[in-house]
Amino acid sequence: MFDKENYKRCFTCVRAPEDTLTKVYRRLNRPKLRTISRTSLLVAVLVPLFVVTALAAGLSGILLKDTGEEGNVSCFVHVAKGKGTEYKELDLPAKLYLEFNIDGESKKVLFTPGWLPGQHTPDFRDENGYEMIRWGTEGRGSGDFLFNLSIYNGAQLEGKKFIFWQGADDEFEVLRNEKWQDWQRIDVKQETHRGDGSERQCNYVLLFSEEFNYLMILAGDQSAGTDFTVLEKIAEDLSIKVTDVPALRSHSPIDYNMIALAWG
Amino acid sequence: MLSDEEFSAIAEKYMDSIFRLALNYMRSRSEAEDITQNVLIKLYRTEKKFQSGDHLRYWLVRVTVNECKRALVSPWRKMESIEQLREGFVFPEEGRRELFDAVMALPKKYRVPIYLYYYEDYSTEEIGRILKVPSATVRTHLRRGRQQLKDSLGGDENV
Repeated sequence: MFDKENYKRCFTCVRAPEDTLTKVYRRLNRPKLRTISRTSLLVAVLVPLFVVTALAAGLSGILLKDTGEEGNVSCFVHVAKGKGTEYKELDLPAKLYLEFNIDGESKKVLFTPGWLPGQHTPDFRDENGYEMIRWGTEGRGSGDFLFNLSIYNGAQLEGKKFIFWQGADDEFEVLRNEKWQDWQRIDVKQETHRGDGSERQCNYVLLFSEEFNYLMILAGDQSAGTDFTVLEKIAEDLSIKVTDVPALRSHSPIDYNMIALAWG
Repeated sequence: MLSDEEFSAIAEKYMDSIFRLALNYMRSRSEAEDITQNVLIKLYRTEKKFQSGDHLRYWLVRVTVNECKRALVSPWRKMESIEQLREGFVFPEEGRRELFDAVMALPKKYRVPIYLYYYEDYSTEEIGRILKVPSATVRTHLRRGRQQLKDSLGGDENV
């Protein structure tokens, strides 16, 4: 039966996990150490790379930003309002995000992998066999991807923040940020230890072409064997086709994209 | 900023309320746990001076609602069954478990006002300000939520 007294009695039984405060203190203490090392890395690596090559010279570039203890980045999002929708500026949780300087014309880009771990079914192929946008392999449940490849052209990058979505139990580590082959390559590891005991490691290899203004994202689930060695092998055998078709910029006020490997 | 002792005392006192509100909003234990931690971290870091216990409590509720809205923008959400939601909670009577299941089966727009009204004892005007909806809408949602609970459990709709 529903009445106020029963309702109160029922929800009094619903309590936060006992280790909540321990986890809060762990998170409060953790960022100070991690921020110092990551900030040092960013100062050492990103400032010379981006500021000199991209900002000063006005060329294309990719900038990896760390929001530090703030842990937020302000973005325009699409929210439901009554029966309609509206755009609203919200602070989204993120330790790391990417911004881009896009110089010159952007063209539509396509990719096709030359090698992949195991069987796969692409989401979409064009008439020449190139994957258009993204595909992944269904894993242990609906929406649970073992790996995922996607490509964004310059028009999709310009003015956008690409955010590594920050859950409460997510930790990010930048493992690499350097020139690799024809790309600026950034490797990021995401470790998640959730309150329900589940754990996960996602690996991201981001490849930015300053010459052709595109970003290739390779993401993999460590438990499925998609580690950085596997992602690098996929990257080495990628064929990327820069078409002659100009890429048009969207007029949507939404100014962010999420980088996340879905977890069902 | 709060001293460590003040923070611990406030966190101990309010973390269950924050968790309950987040659970009602998100219908996910793991997300409610994440949000509870986020809210407590914001409390630890805030420079805000609280004029009273009610002011602090209202601030915590507002921050929790904001954190829930933000979490709903997430590109992936972990869907949980009623059994997973209930896991770890001890309901000493079968009736309370049934009530929990029935509440969790309600749409979010009914669950959250019902929690704020019946558990936190906020008025419909205060709930309207917290959720940024007109108080008349809150009253409508309370009435429809109660009706749905009555339909599934029985009992007095006009409590």
